[in-house]
Amino acid sequence: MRKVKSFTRFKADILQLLMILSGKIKTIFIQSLLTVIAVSVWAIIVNSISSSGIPLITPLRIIKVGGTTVKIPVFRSRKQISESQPQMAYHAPDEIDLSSAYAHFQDYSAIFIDTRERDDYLKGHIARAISVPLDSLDFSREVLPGLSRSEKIITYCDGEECSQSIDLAVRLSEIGFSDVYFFYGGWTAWKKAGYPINVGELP
Amino acid sequence: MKSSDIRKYLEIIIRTVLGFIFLYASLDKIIYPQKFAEVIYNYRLMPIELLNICAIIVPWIEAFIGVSLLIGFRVDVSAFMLSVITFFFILMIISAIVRGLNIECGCFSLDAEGSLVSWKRVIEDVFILVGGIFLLLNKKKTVSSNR
Repeated sequence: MRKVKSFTRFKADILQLLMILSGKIKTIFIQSLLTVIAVSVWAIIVNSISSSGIPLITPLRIIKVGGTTVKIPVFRSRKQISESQPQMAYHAPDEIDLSSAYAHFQDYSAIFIDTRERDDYLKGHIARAISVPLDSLDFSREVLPGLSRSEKIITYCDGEECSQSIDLAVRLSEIGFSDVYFFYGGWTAWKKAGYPINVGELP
Repeated sequence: MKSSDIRKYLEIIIRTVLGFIFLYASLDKIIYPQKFAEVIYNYRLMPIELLNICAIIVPWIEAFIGVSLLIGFRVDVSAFMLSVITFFFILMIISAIVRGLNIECGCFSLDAEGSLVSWKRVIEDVFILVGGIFLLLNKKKTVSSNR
């Protein structure tokens, strides 16, 4: 009899504890939500007056790739955007297909840029392509010094599952290169077609 | 030393350590929001249009958690926020590792070389989560025992 009584009390205690806990968690949850709202308002106000503030909605560049459109975000502060607007030098880069890329390769009319990691480049790349991994570029300095802004440039990466070629093409266009293409088929399509490749460093 | 004393000192130590970590982690991101937006973009988990607003708000939430833990203001609320936010960070890092993404973590600083996503980052975050849950439960215990 005593056992049953103590078990009932134990059960009641547990229930009471659970009720207290759930009540507390509910209170903390609501307070956290209110805090997040207050902090968000503060963050947006500071962002709107800060010199490094960014637009609330990410600005996008829309590019056509193989019949579909790809959205490329532009990560720049409001100040950088307003500074670059008067120039209006931006020409959206276009996609180039395998046969056109090969035609440019054959008559030496374009510079191929391999945007993959350095190791991948060394294992094999489009012949005469230069290696410029996206991460290696410092856009606060002069990018690709010695290269004319009107030079035809074709960027590529592995193939259709990577986006570094598009990213680099967009970045180069933003800083004034006017004839930039991205070869979406990339290394995979080039190798499959049996076109000239090279291994290791450029001679 | 009584066990309640030990718990009290442990709470102060964990509070201070986590407070510093969160405050430090927020600074770079508050100063360079566009860089942080790019870090979030690389995880490929969020609609592109929302990257900026997320990069504006998240660092300030981290800063709030850091300061409130350091000064001991509403520790229960900030410990709860810390636990939730760290839980999501852990999920994001694991999903990046599983998808084979070799990207910057953006965990503590925005230095591209230093902090790629890795299991080490997951373990660090699990320790932070355990600390957060300890503070949350500890705070609740003190509040209920005071009554």
